[in-house]
Amino acid sequence: MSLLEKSEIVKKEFEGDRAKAVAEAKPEAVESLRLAYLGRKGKVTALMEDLRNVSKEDRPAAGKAVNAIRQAIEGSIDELKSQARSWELTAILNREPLDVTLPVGEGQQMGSIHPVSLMRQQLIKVFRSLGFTVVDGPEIDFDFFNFSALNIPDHHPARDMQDTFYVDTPEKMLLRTQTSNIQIHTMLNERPPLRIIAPGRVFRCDSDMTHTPMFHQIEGFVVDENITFAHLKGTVDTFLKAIFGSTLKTRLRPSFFPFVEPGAEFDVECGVCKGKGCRTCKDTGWIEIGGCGMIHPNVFEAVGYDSSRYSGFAFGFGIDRIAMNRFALPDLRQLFEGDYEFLGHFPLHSN
Amino acid sequence: MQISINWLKDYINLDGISVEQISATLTDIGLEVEAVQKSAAFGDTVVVGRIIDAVKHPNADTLRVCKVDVGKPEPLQIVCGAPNARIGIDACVALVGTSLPGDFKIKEAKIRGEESFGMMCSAKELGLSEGHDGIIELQTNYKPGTPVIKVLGLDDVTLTLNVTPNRADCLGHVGVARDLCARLGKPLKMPTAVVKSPNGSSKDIKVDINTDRCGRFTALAIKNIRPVKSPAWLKQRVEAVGMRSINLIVDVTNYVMLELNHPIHAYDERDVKGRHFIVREAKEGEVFTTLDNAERKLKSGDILICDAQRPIGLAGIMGGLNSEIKEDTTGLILEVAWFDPHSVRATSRRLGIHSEASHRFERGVDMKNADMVARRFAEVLQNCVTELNAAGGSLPTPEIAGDLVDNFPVKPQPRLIALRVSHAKNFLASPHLTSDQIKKMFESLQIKLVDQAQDRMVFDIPSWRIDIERECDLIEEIGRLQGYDKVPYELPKMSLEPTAEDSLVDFIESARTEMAARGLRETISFPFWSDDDAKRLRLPDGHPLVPSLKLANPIAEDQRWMHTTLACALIKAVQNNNRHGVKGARLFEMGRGYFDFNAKPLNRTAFSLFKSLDRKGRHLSLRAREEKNRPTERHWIAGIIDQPWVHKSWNTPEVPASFFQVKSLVLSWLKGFGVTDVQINRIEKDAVPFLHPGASAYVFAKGQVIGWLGELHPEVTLAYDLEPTKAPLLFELDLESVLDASSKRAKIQTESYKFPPSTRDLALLVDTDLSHDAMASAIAKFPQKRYLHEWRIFDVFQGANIPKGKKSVAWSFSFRSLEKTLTDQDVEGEFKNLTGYLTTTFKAEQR
Repeated sequence: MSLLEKSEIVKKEFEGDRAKAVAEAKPEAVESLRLAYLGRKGKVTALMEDLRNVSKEDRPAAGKAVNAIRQAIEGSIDELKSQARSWELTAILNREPLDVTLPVGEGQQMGSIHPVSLMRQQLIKVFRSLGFTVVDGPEIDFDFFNFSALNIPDHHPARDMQDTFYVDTPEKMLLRTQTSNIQIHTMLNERPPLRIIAPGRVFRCDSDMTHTPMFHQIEGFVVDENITFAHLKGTVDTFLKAIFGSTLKTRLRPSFFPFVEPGAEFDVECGVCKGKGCRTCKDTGWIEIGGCGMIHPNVFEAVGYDSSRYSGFAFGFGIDRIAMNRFALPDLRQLFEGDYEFLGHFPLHSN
Repeated sequence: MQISINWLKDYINLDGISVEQISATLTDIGLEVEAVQKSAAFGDTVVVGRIIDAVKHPNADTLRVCKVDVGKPEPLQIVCGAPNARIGIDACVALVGTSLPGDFKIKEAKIRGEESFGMMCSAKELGLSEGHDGIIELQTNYKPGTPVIKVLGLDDVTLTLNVTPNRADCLGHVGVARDLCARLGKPLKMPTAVVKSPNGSSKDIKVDINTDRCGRFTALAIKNIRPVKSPAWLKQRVEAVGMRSINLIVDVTNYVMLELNHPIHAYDERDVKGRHFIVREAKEGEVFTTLDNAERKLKSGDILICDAQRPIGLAGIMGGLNSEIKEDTTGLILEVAWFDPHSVRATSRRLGIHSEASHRFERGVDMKNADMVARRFAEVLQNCVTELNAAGGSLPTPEIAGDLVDNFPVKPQPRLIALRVSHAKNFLASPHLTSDQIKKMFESLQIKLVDQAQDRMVFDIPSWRIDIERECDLIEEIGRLQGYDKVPYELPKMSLEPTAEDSLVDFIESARTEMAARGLRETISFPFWSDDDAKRLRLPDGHPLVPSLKLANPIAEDQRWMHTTLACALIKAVQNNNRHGVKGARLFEMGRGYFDFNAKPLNRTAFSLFKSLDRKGRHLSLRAREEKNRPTERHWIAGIIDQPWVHKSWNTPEVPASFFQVKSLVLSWLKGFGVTDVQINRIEKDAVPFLHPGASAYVFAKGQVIGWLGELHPEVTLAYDLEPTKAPLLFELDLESVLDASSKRAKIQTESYKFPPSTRDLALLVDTDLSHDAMASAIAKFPQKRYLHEWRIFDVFQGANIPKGKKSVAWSFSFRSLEKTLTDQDVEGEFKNLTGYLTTTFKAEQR
């Protein structure tokens, strides 16, 4: 059989194989087609090798013909290759659709932040925006910082307001009952002007449905020259509105804390009934938030500040109850039980 | 403090002022009303009804059809089943429309065919008592139709006031009335204390005060007295404010105390031997039986009232069993005194006696009114006897001494306090205030202006206002009387200069968020340990984590110690979750460990790895860090990973939690703060005894231990009811050390590689105890290193075909250059040298 005849056969066979590959519509089929014809042991390669056996005079014509076939096949395969890309995409797109509702494992689960922490982070944000600096302090402290420097001398009945845990140490230490100890620590260490908040854990020897032996407070105080009761009112009103919403009313009413004079408690209008009275606010229309007042001159004197030059105000409130209010939690004690499922309901960020 | 509104009306005219207004006004001036309680659970539609006719119900044997006069032109027909419903008695009739306790509404009804317009009530139905002995039969002849609340004295409202400890004067009705008068601009009607028939004398009574803890002692003798039942009004008043009515003598004592806020004690005169009172301090260890029949062991400093022979009263707290008023008491001696508040408080706290008297004495009673209080007692007593006799009683006329014995050694100096008007105006931001207005306010509180010159007003503070000590206290009075709502809202104008904030504050919050972002849920627990927790955690004596701070008054015995590590709380949390069927919890907590290194200094030699534990934390001011004897508080972040890591699901088998997942978590969290130069080293035996010795490690950064991680020790799992084969994993890091490490960051590699790397793999047979870190650091030190860029272990294998004591480790090496694409030759040459280096260094065999 002459080379030309062989070439014709190869050409015909290619048409057939090509049609099969196209029918298969897979990139692998194109590749095997290429190997079958253009590969090292391919049919076209064999034709090229046969050229060596063709007589000199016939070689130009035969070579031309074989080359033509080779080019045609190469061209055809190239064409198929680019087609194969689109077959591939079609195959990918035609995959069985997913049941996107299948649950995902907990390998990549997101954790959560405790509601009290979320609340504290939000409070810190509000107070920083008002120019307050956040200060931390000890949870176990000397009587001086927690009581006597705060104008609560030993045997003062005001000590009954807070059941204190005492630590069995030679120098009568205690678990702080209020974050107000930070007032003393800060004032002994810094000079006015001061704008400080101090969030932290406090302890009272009390445990029932509505009290836990440990809870969270935030203390704030401002000291400078010419600070007045109006500044206390303005500041309390500003941060309460920032926390609870600007449409709710706020109020101060007289009360007593030994380290302030005049002293007050501050309330925010009940967000549930908008001041009309409901179960949440026990029909008063108000939610009690915390205590505040003008820093007592005895406190300034205890830390060596000139009480005739400086004045200031202080305020403090519990974080846990606000967090319960914010997240509508019914049971205070739930906050400290470490229930994994309960804790999972909270987000990572407060807003 | 309970206040009866009817009682209050004795001292202030409250006509036309509603209970709501009174209550709001009190709250507004600082006497917060916590509760408002009506005396009766029904209103004025329950009225007196006289039964004028009663016949048997035609269709029911046990029922009667009654005609009842309720003060209307026509009597009502009421069907009643009570056996005592009969003609002539006065009953309590709930008219149609009345709501009775238990949400029971009275409607017109037809009972077995007979119409009934109302109900005659039993005590139980009116919520007055539990018994059900037929309908109430009213004793007195009130006009039919009169509301029953009036007849029974139940038309009162009781307010529960939260009287703050400074307002001792408001622990009596007169004090509250005085404040209310001041705010409402009404006159105060003081109770009278004139004894009409002075006969007899107290002159034979002797009072010696032998301690400066008693400032005044007044004694008044009263003879011819009987401890009979009190008149109804007195009983009602005493009961309205939550006390029990005992007998006339005790009730008047309480009544006057609740009126004038001065405790009174009445002794049976037969028991005051020698009619001689001696007030002295107790001897150490002296024993005295109080009238609640309890033996009290006293200390020096406690104040005793004695007669000529023995103690008869614990001053200001409780009388003695040996001198109380008895059934046959006919004469008494009254004590109205003043005792040192601190002493009374110290004694009552120590003995655990909180009485009405001690509550008042420790807050401070009015020293000056003792004589008036004694006379007021006499007057009320006398009036009661007169009243009882007028109502048919036959009591003898009490013989009240016209004089009293008054030992008042040191009369208190007048307290004069000056107020700068300009300062008050500025402080309260109330420029409109005038000195005239201020004068009026203080006059209404019975605080006298004694001197005024330009800006200065000097006030004489009455003896009952012990809370007013300084100018700021006067300013508070102005503030609360004018109303806090009158002060404007302003924001302080201050310099912007901030106070420096310690970076720990912000770091703690970021640390929290970063940990939660790695899949852990934050929990908060109480930092208390039981006596056993240290043992359960296998902490040996002397270990730095053994708790050293003990509470003197724990809330429960199993919460006695301040914890040192958060580990225990987290283990308990997993234990609890497991109990509720929750497995695979991943929890973390941030909190403090508390240490007393003052009593027991940290043993650095034995526990060298804990050497930073006794640093005073950055939460303290610089000044406080220097203080002696301050305990140490360390800030921990700790986590626990319960089994399994991943529950079995449609696309995964159950994946157990492993040491390496926790290690990855910790390293990733540390990397978030730029702490990348971290070593995880095997723990030496039992240094952290609650972790598994073969599956635990220290976390090192910058040459110091910053924490630990590992599997819970199997013995500890058992101690907390956990399954040892499914031990959770724990980690705990010292936040301050992490912050320190993060602030010393390594220099950041700034070149970027633009040419692709080449990789070569190598498997070596090495000894099993050769650690990854040992190999990795040897590779880092490869002396002919030129292009070697990164290396990582990708297989560790022991078992089939591997000799015992050996393991196969496979490494992948990546070669890279900043200047060019490496040729095979470049890479092959270096890889060959590396292979040779590693096989010699580790006596390894290439596989």
